[in-house]
Amino acid sequence: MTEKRNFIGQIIAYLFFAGFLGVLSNYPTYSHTTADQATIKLTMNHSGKLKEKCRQRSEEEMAKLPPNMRVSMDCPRERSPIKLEMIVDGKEIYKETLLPFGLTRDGEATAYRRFNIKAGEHRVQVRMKDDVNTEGYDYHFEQTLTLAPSQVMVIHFDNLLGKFVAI
Amino acid sequence: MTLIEWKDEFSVGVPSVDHEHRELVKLINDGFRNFQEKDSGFRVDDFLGEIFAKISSHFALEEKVMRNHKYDQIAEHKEDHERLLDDIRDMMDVYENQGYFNEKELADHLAAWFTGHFKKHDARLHGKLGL
Amino acid sequence: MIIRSTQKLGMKLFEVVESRFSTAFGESWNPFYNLGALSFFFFWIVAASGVYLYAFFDTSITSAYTSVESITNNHFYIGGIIRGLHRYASDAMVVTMTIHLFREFLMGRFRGARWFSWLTGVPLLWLVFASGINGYWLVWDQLAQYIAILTAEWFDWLPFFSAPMAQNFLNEASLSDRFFSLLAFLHIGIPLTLLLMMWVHIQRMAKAKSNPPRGLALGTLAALIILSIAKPAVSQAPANLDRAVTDVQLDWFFLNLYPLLDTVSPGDLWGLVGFITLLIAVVPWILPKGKYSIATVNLENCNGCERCFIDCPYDAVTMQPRTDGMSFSHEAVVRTNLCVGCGICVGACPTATPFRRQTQLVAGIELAEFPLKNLRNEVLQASETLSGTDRVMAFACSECGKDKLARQPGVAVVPLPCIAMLPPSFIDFVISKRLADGVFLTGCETANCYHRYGSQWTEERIEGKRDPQLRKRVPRERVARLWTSAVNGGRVQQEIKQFRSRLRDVGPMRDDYASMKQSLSFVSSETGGNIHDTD
Repeated sequence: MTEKRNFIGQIIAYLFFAGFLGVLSNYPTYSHTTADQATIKLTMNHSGKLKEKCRQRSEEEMAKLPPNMRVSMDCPRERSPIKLEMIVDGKEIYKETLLPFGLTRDGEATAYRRFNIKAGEHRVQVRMKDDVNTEGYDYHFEQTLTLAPSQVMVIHFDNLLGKFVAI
Repeated sequence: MTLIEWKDEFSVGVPSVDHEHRELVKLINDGFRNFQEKDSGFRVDDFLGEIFAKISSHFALEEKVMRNHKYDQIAEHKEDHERLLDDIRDMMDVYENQGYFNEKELADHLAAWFTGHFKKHDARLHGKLGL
Repeated sequence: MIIRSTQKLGMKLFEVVESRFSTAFGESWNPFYNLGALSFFFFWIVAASGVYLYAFFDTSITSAYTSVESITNNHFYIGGIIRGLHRYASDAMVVTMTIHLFREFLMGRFRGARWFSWLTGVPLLWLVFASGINGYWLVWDQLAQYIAILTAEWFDWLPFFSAPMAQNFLNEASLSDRFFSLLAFLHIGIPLTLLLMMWVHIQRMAKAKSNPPRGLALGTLAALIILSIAKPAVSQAPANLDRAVTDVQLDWFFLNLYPLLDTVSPGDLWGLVGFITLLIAVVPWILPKGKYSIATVNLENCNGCERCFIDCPYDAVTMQPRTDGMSFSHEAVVRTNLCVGCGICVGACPTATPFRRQTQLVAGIELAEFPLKNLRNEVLQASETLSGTDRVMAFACSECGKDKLARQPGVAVVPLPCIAMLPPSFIDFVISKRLADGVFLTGCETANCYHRYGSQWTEERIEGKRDPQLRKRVPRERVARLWTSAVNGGRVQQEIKQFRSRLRDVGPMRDDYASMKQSLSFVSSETGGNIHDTD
């Protein structure tokens, strides 16, 4: 039983398929950002301060512990969550509380956020609080930044210098 | 009287096949005995139908054995199988539509076929299987 | 329900489109009947072209882009075309995979034991997309930059990472060779995992079709090659993390969800994708299952001939060593968790013949809730409703047969779960016992059978190419068959009408008993004469 085939029909089908692949694989072009926009990336890897101070254990408390765990200083490992804020031209565009990494919350807290803003001059402020036991923010950054079109500027927290740096 | 006498040369060497050969011989012999004793339960069409089914499945089994052993004359042997099944169907149709049943003819036919097919094909198969 | 009617509408749409393609390609080359096989074929093209590309690809971040440019431009008619094949065959695989998904859903091919095939297909969706996205990343052009930043941001939503992956792509200074090498490595690992899952996906199918027919394969390959020449796969401008990506040409097959990340949060996108995945995965369990009967073996009638084992399309019948002490070596054993109740095994069994005494009509393998005794009774009762000289007994598969045949006086319809459940002996039975003047068989198209091989095997059994064969003595002018899809209900009507007019022309059955008797006695006397010959 030889099947009936129509080769013109097949060619048309293949052309359609190839065209479909060729077009959708490249078009339409997508505008991720426009030519008059720039990007600011805010990033931070920072360990918050310890939530509780170390303290001396009393005699009774020591006795309750198994013999191999009898250390006189009790230093809880949990670190403070970090509050991070960014204000551009007086408007708050980002506010987040970042938890320290890890089950016992003793690791670094990390932040990463990308913002598209119009190119040009902007007053940028960043505030960070890393200690639950103090009032107010512990780190401040304020700069007037001039952003060229499509420029990528990174504001990151330099742990060595102890402050935010814009590059 | 047994229609078909069992002969050792009916063995092919494969237990399942030989078992079915014996069963088929028994089925045919029993059927004829019932017929001759005018057993009121005996019906020709049922008898033939059962033989047809059993022989069909027997041939299927033999063909499997031949396939597994890569028997070289499987096509010819199978052709003979198909012929016999056609003959049995002919017998069934003749009986059904004409009420015609000559037990001697049937007896001769089956016996002749059994021994003929055996001599030609099953014996050769036995030899080739080397069992 | 809404789902039912969407399924019916969808099926109708598919069938209309598919019948157009069948006209052009012929049934066996119809791409819609080879979607799985085509997906495999595209995978091999991608893999083979990938080997070539990988050989010349430089995995360091500084020279990745230039190495790809070199492959593409220095010898365009080798490297450039191969790159084109690599890209467009990947896109094609997304297309065939997606259509395959919809088709199998609309046609309900996930019921019963087929849940396995359905469920194992779900990871394939993820792996195909992951492979493609990963691949685009390696070019390190503007598109790769876009993908890198957004994919990293998306994955960063998951709680596993101690530091955001996106920090690898802050600016040019933060790029590391090592991370890039990891991506290159993943581009071998993920596709290999994909291949493994593809193998798993076809496990519970006997004789799975993972290669398309040659004509279709060559045509498709030619189309991809021509496409690669006409619209070469090229890189966009090199990546530069110090500059934001503005306009970028997306491959919408793989990257269709990425633009969403400009408006929704990563968490929301995970929710969307996770929800869709879950919805697809649970289909076999939330949709109505439908009734079907598991096959059971009757050892008294089974001699281990293996015909059911050979014919089962789902590998649900195995042969095991004998357990009842009979001298047969093997017996058929049904794996009930794989059986979908198609009944093809019953059609294959040599003891499944209605010529047997009614009390003894038990076949070696039967459908527990649809025994042959019932089928025989149904056939006998159906025959009693017929009269005339052009009576037709029609056997139809209930997947796409029964509803196509309106009951006309003179046509009786017997539905079956699959047309190949019908032992050919039944056709012989109907015709020789004058229960009808002709037998009409209808089922799915041979290349599109719901149970994969039913129509094809019925056809082969009638043509004497497959056991059990329809006896040659059965007059073929009284056996008509039509393999077609449900949308062609009108054609079925037409074929039956024409069949009946042919039957009227042929006239009632007239056996030549005289010559039959003669040949029987002739044979017996001939062999009777030879019985003493030594051969």
